[in-house]
Amino acid sequence: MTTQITEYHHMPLARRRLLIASRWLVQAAIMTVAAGLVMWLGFAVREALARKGIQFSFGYLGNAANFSLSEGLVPSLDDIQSILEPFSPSHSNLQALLAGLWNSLKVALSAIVLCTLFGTMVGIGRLSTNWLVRNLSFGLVEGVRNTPLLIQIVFWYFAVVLSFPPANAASNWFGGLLVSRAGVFLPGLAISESSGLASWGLLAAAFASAATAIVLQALRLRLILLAVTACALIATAVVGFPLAFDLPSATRFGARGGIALSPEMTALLLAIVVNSSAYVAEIVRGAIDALPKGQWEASASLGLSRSHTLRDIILPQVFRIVLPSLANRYISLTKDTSLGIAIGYPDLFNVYGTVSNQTGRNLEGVVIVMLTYLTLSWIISACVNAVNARVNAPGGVR
Amino acid sequence: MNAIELPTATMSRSVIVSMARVNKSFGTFHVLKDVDLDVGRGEVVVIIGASGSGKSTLIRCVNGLEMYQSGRLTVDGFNMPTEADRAIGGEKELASIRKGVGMVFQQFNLFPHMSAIDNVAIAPIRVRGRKPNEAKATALRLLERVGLRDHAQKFPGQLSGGQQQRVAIARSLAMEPHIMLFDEPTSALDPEMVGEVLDVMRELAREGMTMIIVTHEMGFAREVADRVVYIDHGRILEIGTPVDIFDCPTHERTRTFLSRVLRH
Amino acid sequence: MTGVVLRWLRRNLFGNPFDTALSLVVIPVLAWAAYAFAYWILVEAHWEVIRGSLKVLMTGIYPTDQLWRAWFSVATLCAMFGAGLGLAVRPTRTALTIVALAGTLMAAIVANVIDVPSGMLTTASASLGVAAWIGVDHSALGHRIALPGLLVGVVAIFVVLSPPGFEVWGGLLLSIVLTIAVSILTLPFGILLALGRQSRIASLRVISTAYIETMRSVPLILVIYWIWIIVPLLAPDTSVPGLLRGMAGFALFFAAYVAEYVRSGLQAVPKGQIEAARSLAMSSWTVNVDIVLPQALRVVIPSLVGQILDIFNGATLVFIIGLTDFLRAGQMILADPQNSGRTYEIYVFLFAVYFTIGGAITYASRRLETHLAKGSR
Repeated sequence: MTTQITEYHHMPLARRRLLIASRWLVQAAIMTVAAGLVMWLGFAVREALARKGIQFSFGYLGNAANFSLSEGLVPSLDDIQSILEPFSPSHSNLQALLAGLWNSLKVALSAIVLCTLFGTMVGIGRLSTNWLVRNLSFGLVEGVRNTPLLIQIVFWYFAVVLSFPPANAASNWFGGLLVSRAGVFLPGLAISESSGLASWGLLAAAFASAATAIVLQALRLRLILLAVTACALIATAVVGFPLAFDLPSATRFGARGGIALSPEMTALLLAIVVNSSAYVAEIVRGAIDALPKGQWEASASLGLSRSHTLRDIILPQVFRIVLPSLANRYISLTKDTSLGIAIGYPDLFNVYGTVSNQTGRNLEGVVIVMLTYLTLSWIISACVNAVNARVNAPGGVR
Repeated sequence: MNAIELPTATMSRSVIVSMARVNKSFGTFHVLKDVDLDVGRGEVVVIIGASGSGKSTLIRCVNGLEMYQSGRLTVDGFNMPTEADRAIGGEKELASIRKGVGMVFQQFNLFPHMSAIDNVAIAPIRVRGRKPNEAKATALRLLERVGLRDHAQKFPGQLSGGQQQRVAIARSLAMEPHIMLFDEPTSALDPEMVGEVLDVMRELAREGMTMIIVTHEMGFAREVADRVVYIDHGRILEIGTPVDIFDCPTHERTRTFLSRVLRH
Repeated sequence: MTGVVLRWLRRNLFGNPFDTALSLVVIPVLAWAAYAFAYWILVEAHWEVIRGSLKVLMTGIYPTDQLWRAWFSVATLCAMFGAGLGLAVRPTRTALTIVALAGTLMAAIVANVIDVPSGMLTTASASLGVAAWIGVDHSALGHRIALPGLLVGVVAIFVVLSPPGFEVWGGLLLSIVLTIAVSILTLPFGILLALGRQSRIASLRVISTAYIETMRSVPLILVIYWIWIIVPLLAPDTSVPGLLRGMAGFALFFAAYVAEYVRSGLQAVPKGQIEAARSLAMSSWTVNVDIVLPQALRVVIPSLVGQILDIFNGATLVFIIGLTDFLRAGQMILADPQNSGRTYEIYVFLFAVYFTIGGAITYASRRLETHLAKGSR
C-alpha cells in the first residue's frame, strides 16, 4: 500500500480556509508587534540622542581614545617588530576595546584551564576516603558557592594581593616566581644572545625526534629516536640555547623581567579560578556519583585499586557526561571577567564603560560588547560540542 | 481487505464508530493499512494481535491521540480530522469528539498532584462546566461504583495499580461518554490486581456501554466480547465472534498467534 | 570511649597509606590555620568597627530618623518568610525550639550590640515570623492567602520604605528586598518565555529563543548597566528611580534562566499526562494550567530556590548603577580613614553574613528537592 503522505481533508473547505487565514493573521500580528517594538525602541533612542546632538554611528571608533589603561596590548599596524604593543592614549577607541577584550581573554583562558584542573581535583577530593580531605573540599565548595563572586574578588584583591610584600622586597618562590604587591612575576622565555640558525635548527630537530618517538609504536625505533633527541639537545647546549629563562628579579626600584601579571589580574584570576573550581568540583562529583555503583563494584572485584579505578574506569566515562555542564561553566566564567571593573581591571566591560563615558556612545558600545560576548559564548559552546561529538562518536574515543 | 461484517453488527444496532480504508504511517513506517471496522452501539469489540501490529495505534486514532492520513473515521457522528486537517487547526472538532469518548491507558495516567476524587471531578468541572459540589458528588458515586469510595481523598501515589486503574475508569466515566476505549488496561498490573479491573469492565459491558478493548486477556475476551478483531501487521486479518476466532480461526497466522498466546 | 575514637580515626584519617600521608600533611596545616584564625578573632581583631557601623551596613544611607520604616520591613520580611515556611515545612516541636533559640540569641546579640529597643524589635519580628509559620500551616485559609500575602508584603515594604526616596536605600536591607522583588518578578515573565519557546507559532518560538540565548550569553552587569542607561533615554520626561531601573535589568536577565528551568520542568512531565488530559476533552488552557504547570513547577522549585541565591549574590552588582548594597556599604566604611586598618574585620563579617544567608538558602533548596522527590503532598 502506498506510503506517500497525501493530503486528505475532512474539514469543509470554508472552515479550512478560515483556519489557515487566522493562523497567518496571528503570525503576522506577532511579527508586527515585535517589529513595531524594536522600531519604536530604535526611533526613541535616536530621537533622544539627536536631542543631545549625537548620531548613531560607529565612526567614533576611529577617534583617539585620550585615556590610558593600566594594562592591555593592542595589535599595532605600524611597527613590524613587535606585533603587540602596550595601549596608549593615542590609540583609537577601537584599539582600546580590543585591549579590553585581550585583557578579558587573558583571564578567561587561563581560568578555564586552571579551574578545570583544580576543580577536578577538588571534585575527587569530595569523594575521598579521608574524612578531613572530604570535608575540607566540601567546606571550600560551599563557602565559595554560597557567597557572591564580587566579594571574593574584592577580598582577594584588598585582603590578599595588596597585602603582599612591596615589589622591592618581593618574596621569591622556587627561584623563578616573584610575588609582590605590584603583581606576580613568572619566569618567561626570551630570545638569548647566543641564538642563531644552528641552535634553532638543533632545537627544532630535538623536538621533532621527541614528538615522533611519542607517536611511534616500534620499540627499537623509539629508542633510536630518543638517542637522537638526547644528542640534539646536548649539541644545542654546546652551541648555546636559543631560548633563555627570563627570571624576574626584585631590585630597589621594583621587580624586573619575566612575565608580569598585574595585581588586579592576579586577584581576578585567583578569585575566578577558586570560584569556578567549586562549580567544576560539583559538576565532576555529580557525574561520578551518577555513575552506576556497578562500575565500582566490577572494578573492585577485578582487583583494581581505587586510584586505578578512578583513572581508567571512572574518569573517562565522567569526561563524557560533564562536557555540556563544563561548557556552561566556561561561558559563565568568561562573563564573570566583567566583574574586574570592581577592582579596576581594564577588561572589556570596563573599557566599554570608559569609552562610553568619554564619547557618550553607550548604544553603539552596547551593540559591540553584546555581540562580542555572544560570539565568545558561541565559540566556547562550539569547541566543547566538537569535543563532545568526537568523544561520543559510536565506538567513542577514550 | 474488506471487513467481514456479521449481520448482527449492522442491522440491529446503529454504528457508533466507523472506519473505512483508514491508513496511518509514522514517517515511512506504514502502521495501519486499509482498516475497515464498524462498531455498533452497545457492542464490545476486543482487538488482539502481536506487539507492533498496530492495535494500540488503531484505538488511539479513535480519539485522536494519533492522526490518520487517509480514509474515513467517524466517531459518535463526527468526522475525525485527518493529519492534514490537524496541521491547520481542527482542535474544536477534536474536543467535541473527545467529550463523548472515554479512554483508559495502560499506565493509568492519573494526575499525581490531585486526590482520587479530584481526578474524577476535574474534567466535568472544567470541560462541561459543572459546579464543583455537583461534580464531586457525582465523582463520589462513580468511585463507589468502582469500589473505591473510601479512597476518595487519597492521592495516586498512595493507591495500588489496580486501584489507580479503577479510578482512571471512573475518571473517564465522569464525562458520560458514549464509547469507552481501553488500551491494554491490565498489562501494567500485578497479576493479583488484574481481576478487580476486569470486574469493573465486565460490569460496564453488562450495562450496555460500547467498548473497544485492546488486551491480552483472552479469557476475558472470550467471556465479554461481542466480536474479536485480530490485527496483523496493520491489517485486520479476521473478525468474528469469540467462538469463531478462538475455536475455529480461518487464517494460518491467527492460529499461530493464538497458539503462542493461549499456551500459558 | 577512647576505643571508639581511635577506631574512627584509624578508619577515616589513616585508612590507607595515601590517606595517612594526606592526613599527616593536612592536620598540622589545618591546626595552625585554625589556631591563627581563632587567635585573630578573639585577641587581635578590633570588632568595635562593626558595632559602630552596623546601621550603615544594614540600611546604607537611610535617614536615621526614618529607621522605623526599616524595622517595619524587617517585621514584614519575617512574616513573609514564616508564611513561606508554613507552606512547605511542618512546624514540629524541635524545629520551633531551634527557631526560638536562634531568635532569642539574635535578639540578645542585637540588644547587646545596638540597644535594648532594637533587641525587643528583633524579638517581635521573630515572633511574628513564627506566628505566621504556625498560622499558615494550621489553617486552610492561611494556605490560600499565603501566596497573595507574599505579594502584598512586598508591595507594603516598597510603599513604606519609599517616601525618603529610592536613592537612600542601602545595605543588607536593600540586598534582601531587591532579591525578593526580583525573584517574584521573574516568575511570570519566565513562565511566559518558556511557554513561548514551546509554542506552535513559529515567530513566538524564534523571539523567545533569541531572547533566552542572548540573556544567557551576556554578563549580568552589562544588562543592569544598559537598562539603567537606556530607560532615561526612552522616557526623558519621567524620572525612573535608579533602583527600579536596576530591578528591571535583573528581572530581564534572570527571567531567561527561569524560562530554561521551567522548560526542563515542562519536559519532565510525562507525555501520558497530556494524553490523559486531552482524552478528557480539556482545552489547551486547562491542560497547561491545571495539569502540566503544577507538575512542572514541582520539578522546578528546587532550581528556582537556588536561583534566589544567584539573585542575592548578584545584588552586589548594583554598585555599577550607584546603589549601596551590603558589600558596598562595607567598602564605604573601609574608605573612612578612621577604619583603614580594619579590612579583615569588615570582610570577615561580610563573608559570615553572606555565608549564613547563602547557606540557609542552599539548605532549603536541598531539603525541598528531597521533600518533593518523595511524592506529592
